[in-house]
Amino acid sequence: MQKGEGHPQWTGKSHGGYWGHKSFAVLLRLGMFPAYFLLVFVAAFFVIFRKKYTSGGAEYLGRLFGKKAGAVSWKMYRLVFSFGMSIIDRVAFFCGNGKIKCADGCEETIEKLISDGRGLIVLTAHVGGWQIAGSQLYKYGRGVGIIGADNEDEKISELLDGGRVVDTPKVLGDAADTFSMLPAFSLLRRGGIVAMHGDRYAGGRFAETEFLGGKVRAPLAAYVLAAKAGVPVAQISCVRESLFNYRMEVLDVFDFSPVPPSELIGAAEKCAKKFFGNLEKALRESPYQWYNFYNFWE
Amino acid sequence: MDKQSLILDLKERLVQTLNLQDLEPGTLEADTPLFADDGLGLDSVDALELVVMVERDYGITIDGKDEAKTIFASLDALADYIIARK
Repeated sequence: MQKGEGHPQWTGKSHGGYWGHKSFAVLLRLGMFPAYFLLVFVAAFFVIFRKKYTSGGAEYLGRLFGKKAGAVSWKMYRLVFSFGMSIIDRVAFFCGNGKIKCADGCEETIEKLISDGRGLIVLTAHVGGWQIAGSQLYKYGRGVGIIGADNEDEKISELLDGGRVVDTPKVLGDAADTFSMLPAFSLLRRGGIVAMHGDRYAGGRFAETEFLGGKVRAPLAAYVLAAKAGVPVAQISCVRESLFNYRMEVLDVFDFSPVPPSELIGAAEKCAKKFFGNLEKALRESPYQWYNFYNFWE
Repeated sequence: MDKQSLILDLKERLVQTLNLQDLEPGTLEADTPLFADDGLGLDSVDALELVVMVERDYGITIDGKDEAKTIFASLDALADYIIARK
């Protein structure tokens, strides 16, 4: 276990902010395909003229496929296009246009995990339609909150106010905020569900782990929070399986409570390493659906 | 318990709870910032540990992130909060 002071960490802003979402929201009034058509050019613009925004993606693709320059450019285009599609899809989904479907393969596992009244941490990654997955968590009749990074989910909520028909979870705080864990801890102890990302290091405690052939910092806060609140963690992914169709599934469950205090960080490290092993496996199956555009291996 | 005794008690509990092996409780100043880089530099996991400790040992629940920033600014601030809530 290590603390992150003095080390580089994710401090950037998420791409596809308010105006990016807004332009696509306006085009969506004409239909999904006009929005996708605009994306053909927007994605090319980003790949050619905004390399600094996509350099982290190039590192990821190079590690996944090898670093042949031309091949990486084309793959980068596919990754950026796929990211744009995810933005269009999420806006369409939350505005309730009915085109975007999400098959929930997690229901049985989640119902079992919370059947004794315990809360649950849903640990996602920046894969596919994670915001769409968040909206599926209301069906269990529990309070739902998220801990985000860069308040990206708040931006979407802001945009959708007035047009939104599907609820998005309440933002409890930012992952980079030292005290964001406290409202999450309180919600979990009341039997609520908290969704967090496990694939972005924004400061604090971490374990160094292998991911796509290099060392990365795996944040530990989610696992410690789970142990302290006495709740399990479900690692979930929500990938786009085909045009307009997403599927949620449980990749793993970490349920290590109760654990003696002296073994807590060690147990959290094991979970974090397993999380990245599961994520790597999922990304090899859906390589163009990881939207974490910063160099995770720095 | 008066404030000075409470601060001494908090120093012991903080070092024990966070397993700060290199820190002697007696050398910790009451006004040392707990979470700032120019103080102890504690992190989110430590914050959670402290919240659990305060609830277990003093019977006070802290769950608001904004109030926590003020309460955990230093041991002096934490002692004031505990006294006010007792």
